[in-house]
Amino acid sequence: MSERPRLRRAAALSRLGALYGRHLARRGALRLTRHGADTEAGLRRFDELYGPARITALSAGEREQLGAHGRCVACGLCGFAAPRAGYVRPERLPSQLTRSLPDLWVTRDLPLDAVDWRAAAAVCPTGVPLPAMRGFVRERLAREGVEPPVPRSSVPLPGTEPPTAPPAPPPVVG
Amino acid sequence: MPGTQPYDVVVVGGGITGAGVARDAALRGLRVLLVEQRDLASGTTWGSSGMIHGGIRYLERDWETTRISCLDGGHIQRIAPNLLFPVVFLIPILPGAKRGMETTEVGLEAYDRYQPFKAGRPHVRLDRAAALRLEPGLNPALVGALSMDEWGVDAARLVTLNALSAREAGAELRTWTEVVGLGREGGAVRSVRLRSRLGGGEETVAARAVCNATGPWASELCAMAGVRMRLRPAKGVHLIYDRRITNVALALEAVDGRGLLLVPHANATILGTTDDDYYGDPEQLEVTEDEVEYILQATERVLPSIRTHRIAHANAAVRPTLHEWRRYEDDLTRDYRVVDHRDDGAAGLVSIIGGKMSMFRKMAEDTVDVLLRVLGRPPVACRTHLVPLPGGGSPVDVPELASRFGVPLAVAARLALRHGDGAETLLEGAAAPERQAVVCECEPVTLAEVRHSVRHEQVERLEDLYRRTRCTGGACLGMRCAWPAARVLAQERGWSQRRTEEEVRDFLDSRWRDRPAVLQGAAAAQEELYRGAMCAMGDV
Repeated sequence: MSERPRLRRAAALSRLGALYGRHLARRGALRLTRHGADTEAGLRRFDELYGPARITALSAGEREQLGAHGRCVACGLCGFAAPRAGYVRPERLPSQLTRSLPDLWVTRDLPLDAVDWRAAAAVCPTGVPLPAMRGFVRERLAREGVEPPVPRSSVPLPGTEPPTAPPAPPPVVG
Repeated sequence: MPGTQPYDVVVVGGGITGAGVARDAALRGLRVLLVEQRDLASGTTWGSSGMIHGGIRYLERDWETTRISCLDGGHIQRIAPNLLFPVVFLIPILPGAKRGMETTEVGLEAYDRYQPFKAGRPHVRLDRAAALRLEPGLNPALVGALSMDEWGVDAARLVTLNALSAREAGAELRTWTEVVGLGREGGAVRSVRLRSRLGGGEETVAARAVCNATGPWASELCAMAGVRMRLRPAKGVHLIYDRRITNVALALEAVDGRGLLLVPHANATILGTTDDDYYGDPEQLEVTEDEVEYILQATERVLPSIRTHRIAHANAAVRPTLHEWRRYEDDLTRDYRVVDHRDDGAAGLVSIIGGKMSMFRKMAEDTVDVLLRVLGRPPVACRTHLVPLPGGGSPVDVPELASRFGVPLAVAARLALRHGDGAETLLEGAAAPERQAVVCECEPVTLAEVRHSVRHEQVERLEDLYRRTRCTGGACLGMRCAWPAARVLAQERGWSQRRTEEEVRDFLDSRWRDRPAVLQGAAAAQEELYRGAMCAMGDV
């Protein structure tokens, strides 16, 4: 099969154009019937698709706090001010355990409340809000649960099949 | 010419393309040597945005390319399910945007047709209120947003697994080994002269074919065979944050209209990239303050609070494009070409140029098809989409793994991500105290994993460990773990104290190069303290 890129581009844009027309007609009809219902419907749908993977909303308070979480420079001073509780050395809260929002569940068995976060925060040279970070983890887990994110199946959704005949490779020069 | 049996193919270049070609060729029964002048994934792949994506932009040129790209993304997802993680984009629509809500949604409606090929989900339309509830940090002036999902992947780990799979299939790997010459016999390229960068001198190996998968160094390698290939290299810079600063990825637009991406990438954030012509040494790249500012300005239009987040470090890499590419841009439906240099007077040399990581498997398949023809062999079916990469065979129950081996969930979860079903073997083979002893605090990476990686994953130098395990890549920027990690290397390799000190010094120097443009305030002072302490302690 020889490549005819300009024709393919024209075909691609033509398909998009046809889709655009149908899209506008559909949007027009939706506006007549669902005016004002888009916000909750959109959030519900997003949560349905991505909630199991813990790709979920941030609250306004969480957004405000997140910038401060990254202040940790791993100086280790907090470890002198507040003893560890099992696996939880104070510096592990900012530098390890809170790096991934979908993976906060890994803290579920850790004795986070056994650490004196105020004492640790008092010596932090960059102002990492350690007590607030502990609260951040608690509140987020209370909202999302403590189970691991659900891995997405690698099987294609029904109705899709890989091609039986692979397309031609790109032209080889030489 | 040496007296040893020639390799069928010497693959030059240990990035995603070269590793993919080596794997495919080995799985098809060819005798393969993969050589890489530095470490696996240390070239262009190092600057990857870390995504296996379906090429939505091709919908404006050729829907077939998007379909193939999504199909191949599905193959990659199936052979390495442990390594890929969902990246969910919000495409915020700001007033006056190049593409408005309806135009963008039409593109996504088309893309939705191919999402199932890679276990993707259909898009969601979000009005302004919904978008701001999902991510309160967005520019409140936005009109709405649309979601779209792709897969994220640890690019360096993907390269490693391809290389290890090639080795399992009989290929030989040599890193820190540069090609210093190509030899001819009867006009055809028939040998490769190698020089180890770790000492050991030069050596010539015989090859029936040579695959040039060197990316930005492609023209240099071609020149060794007397072939002229002009490249138009483009430098790309990414900023790396030490955590996810958003839960969703964001599509951004820079001041010059270029698209940038903010990608929450496992337990980090990758933000970029730039695109500037670059004709310097691809091994001597630096990140400039101008580049950092360009990226931050693009981001703050969408996420105004971006400057409240501390950048951990930055990386730069060079993307290779053919010099004549721009002239033929309208003629091309894919970004890569497989070039058989027979008509350039260099039979036996095949170059694979351009492309994107998302299509590495397909690129490798097409390349090996050509190599078989060059070798005069009958066609052999490609199997790379059918054979799982190491660790990709079966799902891992992380809590069960943690409980059985007595390791924290935080450790087990990261082990499962990187090693998949190989995590169990790794822990079984480790001494019990080493399963829990944490070397890299930020990731975390245990002593068991470091030792396993050094023994089994082609680790020659300290910086290689970062690409294998992310050890030294977190908030401490290697300051806490460089020495303990180097000691493991020293034990396993029999290094002297002096050698170990040199390794740590070289490592710190190379990491420092990426950081001056992004270090701020307390982080800069902290780094000076650590470096000073290490110098005093180890006479580095």
